[in-house]
Amino acid sequence: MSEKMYFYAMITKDIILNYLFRAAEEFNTMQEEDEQLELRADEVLFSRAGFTQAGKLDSMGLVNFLVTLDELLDREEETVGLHFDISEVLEQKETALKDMNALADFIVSKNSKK
Amino acid sequence: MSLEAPRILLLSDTNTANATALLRKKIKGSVIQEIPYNQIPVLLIQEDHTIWSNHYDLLIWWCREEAIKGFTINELSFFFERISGKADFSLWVGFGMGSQNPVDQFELKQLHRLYELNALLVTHCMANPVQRFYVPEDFLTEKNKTAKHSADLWYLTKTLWHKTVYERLAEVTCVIIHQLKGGAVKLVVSDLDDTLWGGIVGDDGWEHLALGGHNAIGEAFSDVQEILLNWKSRGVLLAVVSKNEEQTALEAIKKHPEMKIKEQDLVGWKINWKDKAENIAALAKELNIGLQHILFLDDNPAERERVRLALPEVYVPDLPSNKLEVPYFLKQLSQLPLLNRISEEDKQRAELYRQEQARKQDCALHGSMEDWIRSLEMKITFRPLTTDNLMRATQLLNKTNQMNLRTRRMGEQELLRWAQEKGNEFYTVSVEDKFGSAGLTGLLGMRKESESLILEDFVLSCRVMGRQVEACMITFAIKTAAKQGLKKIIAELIPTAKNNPCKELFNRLCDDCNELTFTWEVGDKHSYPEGIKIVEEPC
Repeated sequence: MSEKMYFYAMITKDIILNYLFRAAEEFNTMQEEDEQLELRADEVLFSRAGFTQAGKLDSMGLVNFLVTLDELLDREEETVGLHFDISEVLEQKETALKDMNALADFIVSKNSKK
Repeated sequence: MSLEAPRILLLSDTNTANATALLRKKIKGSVIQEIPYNQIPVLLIQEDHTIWSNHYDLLIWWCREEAIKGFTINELSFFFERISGKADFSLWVGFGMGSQNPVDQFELKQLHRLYELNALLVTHCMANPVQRFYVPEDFLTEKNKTAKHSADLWYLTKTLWHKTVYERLAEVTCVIIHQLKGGAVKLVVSDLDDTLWGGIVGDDGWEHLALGGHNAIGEAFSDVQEILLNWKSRGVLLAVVSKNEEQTALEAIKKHPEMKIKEQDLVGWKINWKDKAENIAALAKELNIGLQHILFLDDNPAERERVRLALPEVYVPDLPSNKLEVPYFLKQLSQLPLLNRISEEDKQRAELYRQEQARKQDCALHGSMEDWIRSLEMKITFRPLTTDNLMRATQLLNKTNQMNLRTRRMGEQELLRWAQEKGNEFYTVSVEDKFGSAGLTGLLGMRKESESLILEDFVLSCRVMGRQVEACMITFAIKTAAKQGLKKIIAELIPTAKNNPCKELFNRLCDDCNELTFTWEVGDKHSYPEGIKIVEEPC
């Protein structure tokens, strides 16, 4: 098993959450204060019917956040090649974008199937 | 134009929500006018479109070639001319040299068209000082270089450029708005550690700073210094404000072989552990430069924020966190009008401040003030007012507050008429010494009344105060009165909030004083201080 494959096999939700928080930090530098994401696992990302809490991001903000995350994952040596497809996330936004937790779960599940 | 809430028109054929959000964040209170998606051709054709019913402080044009495909170059030339008249300043972002449309079969004739369009915009900007041309690549940074076009952003939101590209556009726009507010930069105040050189001089020692040499960071800082020296050659003053031990920092400036900015390039520095905002304000006061003319460079976001909060007039750009990007960022600032409107007088200011620094250092080497004055080899020239020196004399009369007896304000012709009236005499005072010439720095207006000579104007620039020029001016007035057979010199001070230094001086120099009236007896007891050469030019 190569070193990289070993990493994907070992990828955990905590690791992905850590990347989500880093992406959020980067994303926040360009946001107004009231539109910044909190670095919490239960931070709601997107407002949708059926979600109990309102999210901070509108559809444009959501794409911006996902693009920031995508670039971060591409940039980091240990996550280059990690499967992350923005359009796939958006297709399943009802589940994948409920909050940071849900997004981390989604990414882990996509990569554990590799 | 209300620049507290600048009106910005953003003309683009793509989704500009990211650009608008960043402009609003950077330029507080700004009103950004966007246009509906895909409406560029309509806007160009319809002169009576509601969007043109407003006048804007700034117009930003950033469109793809696809948006204006149907127009000829001549038609576009006409449209560009017309719409640029709708704003006080226009920023044109040129057309990227390649198709941004994936289904386009890019051909050479399209490349030719892009060249033509960019040439049209460049020609347009060259003919007009309130137009600036950029290419999209000007807004790229190390961080966004690979992500400038995000396919995700395009297909999901119709946003052409990455958010960090618009972040740089917002920074550039912020500078333009600052300039439009009258804040042309005259003084650049820079931090030292990780701003002018890499590393912390107090910890690392000057020998281990990253500056020049075969080192990427060192080379970048060397370029930063070169850019600042280039600004200096355009008349901008350079100063340093840094939290450091002064001796340690100055040693680095003097001894580091790769230091391009030398001590003599700086008009001043405040190197101590005080609050930087406090130091900048003190420097501004010493140099007599308004805070709105200061640009502050610091790598530390916390220090930048502190200065922004304490001194909102000072322009504090966000330097890129990647040190290698800083020279490119400064280059972008160089292209802005911010540094372009510098007069000959502004250019001379750096030299005058440099002379003043040399004088201060020289003064410290002499035991007494008299010895120092003698060593300066001063020459003071009294010259009657003529049309040649009228402009500078009027400027000095109208802007001097501290050493000004009666704070009279007059226009050029009014002053000339007064000087030519019978019984009146008006002299300009120019000062030079071994360090250089301070130029026309004093005025003396006198009026004959009965057996006395009345001092109507006694004006002296703070630049030469304290070098016995004041005493020479009084002696000159006494000698002028003596030549006319008059017996007394009388000066009546009109107090203002600012001319107390003048009152204190007259109290010290006069023979007799009564509240605000100062008198001198005309006689032999007043003579010029020793060691100063006096030149009296005839009327």
